[in-house]
Amino acid sequence: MMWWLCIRFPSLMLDSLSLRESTEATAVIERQVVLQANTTAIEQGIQPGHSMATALSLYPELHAVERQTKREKELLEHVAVWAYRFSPQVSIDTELSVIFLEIRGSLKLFRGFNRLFSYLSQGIKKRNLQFYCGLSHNPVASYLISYSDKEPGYYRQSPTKLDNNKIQQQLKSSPVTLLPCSKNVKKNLKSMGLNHISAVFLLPSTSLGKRFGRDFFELIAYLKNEKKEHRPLFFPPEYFHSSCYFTHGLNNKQQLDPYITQLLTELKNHLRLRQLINRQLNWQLNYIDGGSESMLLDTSLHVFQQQSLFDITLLKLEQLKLRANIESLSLSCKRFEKSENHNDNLFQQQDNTFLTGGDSKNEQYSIVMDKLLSRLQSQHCIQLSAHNDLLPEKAWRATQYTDVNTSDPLDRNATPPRPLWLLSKPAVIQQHQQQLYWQGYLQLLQGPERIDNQWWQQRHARDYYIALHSNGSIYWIFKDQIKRQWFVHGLFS
Amino acid sequence: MKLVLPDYAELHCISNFTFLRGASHPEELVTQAAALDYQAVTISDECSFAGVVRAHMAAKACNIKLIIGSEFSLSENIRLLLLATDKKAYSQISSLISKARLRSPKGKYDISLKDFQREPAHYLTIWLVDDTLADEQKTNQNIANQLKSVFQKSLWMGINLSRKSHQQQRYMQCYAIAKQYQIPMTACGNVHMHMAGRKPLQDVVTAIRLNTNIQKLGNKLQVNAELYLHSKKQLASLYPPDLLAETLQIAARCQFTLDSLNYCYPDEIVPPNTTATKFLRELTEDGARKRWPDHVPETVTTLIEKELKLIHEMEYEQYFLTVYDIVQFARNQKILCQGRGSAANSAVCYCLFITEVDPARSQLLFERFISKERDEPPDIDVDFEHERREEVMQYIYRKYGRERAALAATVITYKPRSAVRDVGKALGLDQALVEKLAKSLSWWKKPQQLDELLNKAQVKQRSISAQLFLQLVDEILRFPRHLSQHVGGFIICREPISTLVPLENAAMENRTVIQWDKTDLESLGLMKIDVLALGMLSAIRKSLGYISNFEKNRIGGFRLDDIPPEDKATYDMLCKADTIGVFQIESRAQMSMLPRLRPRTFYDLVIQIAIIRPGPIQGGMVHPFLRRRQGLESITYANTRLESVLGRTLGVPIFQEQVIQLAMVAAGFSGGEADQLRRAMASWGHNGHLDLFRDKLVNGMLDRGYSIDFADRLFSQLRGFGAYGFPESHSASFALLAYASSWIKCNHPGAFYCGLLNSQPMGFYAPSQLVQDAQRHGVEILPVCINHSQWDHHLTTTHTLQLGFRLLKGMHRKSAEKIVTARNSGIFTSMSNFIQRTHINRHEQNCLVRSDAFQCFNSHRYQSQWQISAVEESRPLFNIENDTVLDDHILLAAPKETEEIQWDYSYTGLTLRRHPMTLLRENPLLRSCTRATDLATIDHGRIVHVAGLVTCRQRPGTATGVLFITLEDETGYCNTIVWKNQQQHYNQEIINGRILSIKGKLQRTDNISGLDPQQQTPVVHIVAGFIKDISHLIPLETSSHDFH
Repeated sequence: MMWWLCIRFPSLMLDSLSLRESTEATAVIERQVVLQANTTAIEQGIQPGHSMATALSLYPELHAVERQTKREKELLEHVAVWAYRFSPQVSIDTELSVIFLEIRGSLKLFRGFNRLFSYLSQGIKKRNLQFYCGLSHNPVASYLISYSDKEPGYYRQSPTKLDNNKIQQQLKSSPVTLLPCSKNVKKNLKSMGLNHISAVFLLPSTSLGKRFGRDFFELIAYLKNEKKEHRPLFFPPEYFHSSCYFTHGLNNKQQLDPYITQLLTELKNHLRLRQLINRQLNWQLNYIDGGSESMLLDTSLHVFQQQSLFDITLLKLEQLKLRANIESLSLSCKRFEKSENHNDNLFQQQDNTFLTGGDSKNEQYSIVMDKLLSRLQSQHCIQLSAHNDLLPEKAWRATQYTDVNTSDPLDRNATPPRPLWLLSKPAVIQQHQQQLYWQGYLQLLQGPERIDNQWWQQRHARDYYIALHSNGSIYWIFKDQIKRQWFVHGLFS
Repeated sequence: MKLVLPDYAELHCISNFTFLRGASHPEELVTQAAALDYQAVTISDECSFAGVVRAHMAAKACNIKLIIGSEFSLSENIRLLLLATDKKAYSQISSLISKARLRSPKGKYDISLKDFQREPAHYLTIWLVDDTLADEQKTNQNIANQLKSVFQKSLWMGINLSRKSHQQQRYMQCYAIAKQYQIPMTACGNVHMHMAGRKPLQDVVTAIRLNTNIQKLGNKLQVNAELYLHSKKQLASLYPPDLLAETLQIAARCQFTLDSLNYCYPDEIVPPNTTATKFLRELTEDGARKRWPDHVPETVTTLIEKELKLIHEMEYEQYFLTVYDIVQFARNQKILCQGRGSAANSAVCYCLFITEVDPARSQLLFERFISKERDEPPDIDVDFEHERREEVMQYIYRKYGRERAALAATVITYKPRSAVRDVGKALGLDQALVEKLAKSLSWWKKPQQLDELLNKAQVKQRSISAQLFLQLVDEILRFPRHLSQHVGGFIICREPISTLVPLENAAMENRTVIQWDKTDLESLGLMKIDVLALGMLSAIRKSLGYISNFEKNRIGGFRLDDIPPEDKATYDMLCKADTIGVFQIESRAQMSMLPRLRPRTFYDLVIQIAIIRPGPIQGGMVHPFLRRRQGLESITYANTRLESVLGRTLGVPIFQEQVIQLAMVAAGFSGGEADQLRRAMASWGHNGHLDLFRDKLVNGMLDRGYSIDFADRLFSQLRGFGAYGFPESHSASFALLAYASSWIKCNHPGAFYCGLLNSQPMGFYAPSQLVQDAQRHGVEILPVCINHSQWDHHLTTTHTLQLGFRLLKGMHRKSAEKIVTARNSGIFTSMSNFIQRTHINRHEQNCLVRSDAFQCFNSHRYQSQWQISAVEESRPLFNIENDTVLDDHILLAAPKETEEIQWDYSYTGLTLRRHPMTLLRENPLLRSCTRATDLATIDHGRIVHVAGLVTCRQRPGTATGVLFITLEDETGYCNTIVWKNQQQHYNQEIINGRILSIKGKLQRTDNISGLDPQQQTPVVHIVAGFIKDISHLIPLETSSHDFH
């Protein structure tokens, strides 16, 4: 018989936003209804189910935060990945906010339930999460038992056997409202006076099935231990990891070359199987003295090019100074993308290219960018992207280089023509004998174009003109209507 | 040398009636244009005339020429501006707007160039090229060519120079096309706001319209604040002189004014070969003979003559005849109706059976209704049964056609809460914070508190200052948001309405509204008829029907007119405040006044209805009136003139018209000033006009020797009366229904409750309270049953009421009718028999089971639910060939009494079993509780303990923050008062509690001195000292009438 441990997180909504222990009265809301409230809010009389209007009548200072289901799911998955070390059979139920672990097979490894449970609960406590546990032969029963006021250990008869009587007793006393079934079914049960599971257990399964459907029939069968419950298992996300170990240690970088090639080849095979392309290479050099060094390389290639990746790795390695002998080299990859579905060429010209499609010009650009990035670091590579703003200096902005286009979609008609060269900071224009002077005299040719905006932050009111410089250049200048001062802002030619 | 400023007429302004585009009121635009000395200004809202009447009134006030126009965005991506030159042009534009609006859902329009080709244009057309000029010169030439062929010589090109980029190049492009196609060019301001300072609000409304926030608007924001009314000096620097001069040429051709609209009544209501005057006289005289079969009193004949003369002078005959026709229709269809409001001041209306207030029995002021000096159209409001009003509306549509009859609009404007919500969202504030700000507006007058709230919120919100937020909220207040339909104000014309005012679709299917609201219609002197809905009329009509059923001998059935006047037993009942369910005098406040005022005549009832209003309460008039009525205070008047005004209300002003008359008599207001005062009173709360009269009123009274105290009281009465006071005629109309419903309750309680319950939802009380009250009045109530109930509740004897299926939550009328039809061929013999014969869906079967409607089969609701659930919904007949399918020999335990009560409340909203409080009496927590009926025997000042279901939580505006909680127990109701500090202390209990236990001091008012104690009905309140929420003892889904 299996032992399923249910870990239920009753405050997952608050915990995922780190708000449960906030001293401020806080509630998680969805569609203006309170779903969870922290202790401070509960003390003010706020309860789940209250409308925002009622909650604010009770406590006008209430801090209300919108529910974030994605964060909740991430948190559950994060815990599940960690919990994987306790059991290979892990299952997640985001609706119930629970994680199920089959622990019967792990009892020997952890030398008994108590040690296992102690590790597990300590680990969750460290994460500062509120949780309750239940133990039974199947997940749904363990879920209901998690509502009992007894520790899970109470439901064991011996180190290897669960106490079925205690479990059944607890299940029978559970209210039907706790059952993981539809609201309609629960309402129907209540309207038959079936308030506790004990009353449901007394009824013939066929009669129940006829009235409440197959799912409910199965649910009762699980609870009665008449049927084995199969839940979809959770598997940690797949990522690539491989290492090469050097028994005597390597003491110079050149010695690493064949191993780098080997690991890249393994990665290539891994990617080919999964039709993926990597977005990152995480190299780790482990020294004999126990220390280690990491090199994280972002890549922007749209096809896997082993030689390029090899070159980039060497470039990066050049900057590294070895501290001691290297014991192992590992390569891991966590960031992937679906690769473009190109077929292999029938007559491949290069061994190290398994995908040869794509625009070669773009690829060359990507290779250059990757090389620049590895040499200069990404924070030193910037690109210009368009930004939807009426202020000229904000209409374009420099952003850290990425291969994804971050520009705002622009309405070409709404974007007026602007000078090619905009000064990073407008330069003050002097006035000589009532004439505008900036490294020479300026003569207004056309304008004004008035821009008056950003009143909610700092108002900018400017009249822009096109002006002819005495050197023959065409400048874009403006008069700041607030400071009453002239500035040069750009150059047309 | 002095610069000669050019003359200018602004041809293109959109106001805030181009919803969420324009950022100024029409009045602001007009006033500002006058201040800038423009020759004329145009209001040209987008496919709308909604703002033109306001602009027209403002233009008259500041003496500037108003041009009426409208802007259109065509499906061909062309923007046109049409200007009305004369009445024909105005009608054409109005029709075009109607056409474009009626073919689209509410708030949208759809128009294309071919719509302009149907008939020769009388209006002038301006092609607005600023934003829509295409990059391709060929496209522009194409458009110019098309427009020129459609509009020929009445086409201009509107140029807006608002300092946008590359303006010169665009101008040259326009110039080339204009020259090529010989289209004259003119300046057009594309004005969106009256002053540049409105730019922030303009951006905010854009963000609201596009459902985003200003930070995300980017290029969708106006690049600068130039779309405002510029000074002539600025205009001279912006536009070439020829373009400015052309505006004057165009303005000179636009001679239309709204004053020239002559509204014509429909003429089909006058039979051939007679005149409206003659016909109205005939009907009135005929009606008078019916009203007074023995002899029409002399005073009435004089009144009628006076009224008919004035009606003829003002040419209002058709209006009266139209209303008469509608009322006649209703009467023929046996739809109960009654006129109210100022129309009840008219003897003619009484003779036409429009109103029911007998002029021989009251002192009515016809001038309050129609006055030659005021020169305002009369306003007749008629209430119809709320369930049958639609029939009356459909009759109007049928008779006059949808082209000639339409509902007036109601302009929905920004109120503080909606303003906070929308501005907050537009400024990008966090949604939860915005909700919090909207929920409690306590920060309104304390910007510092708002600052703290904003600072506490997320970082991005720190950039929005409290001052800016407040300024924007304040500016957007009263801005129109959209048009909705008026509750029942009809406008009916001889000509198609769309030639007078544009029509558009309402949100409700098959409903059209005009683009003007009540105020606009009044301003232009157009008449409207209010076809209103009143629930009590439905209830009374139904009750009268039940009485008729049991009085078979009465020919023609029992009618409203058959109710005998001044019935002693009815007044006795009212004196005891036994008025649950009675029209107008059933609220807690009215009920606590009844034993003090002790109405004994119809006129007492008129006063009773008018006195419990914020006007008299805020003016401190209630207690003086009671003292005088009880003989505790002498009735004195400062002079005989005051006596004439206040005599009928014992020297205390209670009615709206008395306050106006007082202003004239005591403060020396002229007739005209008094009329202005009346208007200001009516609009108080919307603007501060009333305060302008304060000094004049107070000083006028002081000069005439009245005390400052009296003057101040009168002014605060004026304030209260503004929005909430009743004129005497209105109160009299309501008193008639209050008396009728009281009489029915007193003499035919079964019929009364049945009528009332069948007209729900209406009134102050939920069915549960009405049913309990019925039981206390000896009416036996039978539960809902599949073998006896119908959709409506019905009487099986005069004192036995069978509850109907309409009570069940989730049950539909059609299904109930299916059950009744199936039952016609024999009662149901079992559950399977019921399922086989009715085929109603699972959801409704559950409704019936859970409300215990199957108890006739001796099956409790749990067992019934078990049985009915065995039937598969997809193949019900397959499963129930015999009863054994439903009965698998499983017997479920029967519900306990508390469970039964819980289910009763959940599915029917009431229980006929023991009251929940009866069950709780055994609980040790409630052993010391006093029952509601026993409170009357306890002395004033004693500490008592009461408990009950919360049926009402009220915090009236007139009671300075005091909260009233009404508790219901098995014997009746108990009113408790919770002072402010206790409210804070017991906030959770007050808000969450469905059943409360309250300890406090008993306050008892024994009303009339010298009256036999047996006849006294003391008014008892408990002042709460300790409140405990005991809802957990029996969790019930009860309803409470909260915080109204």
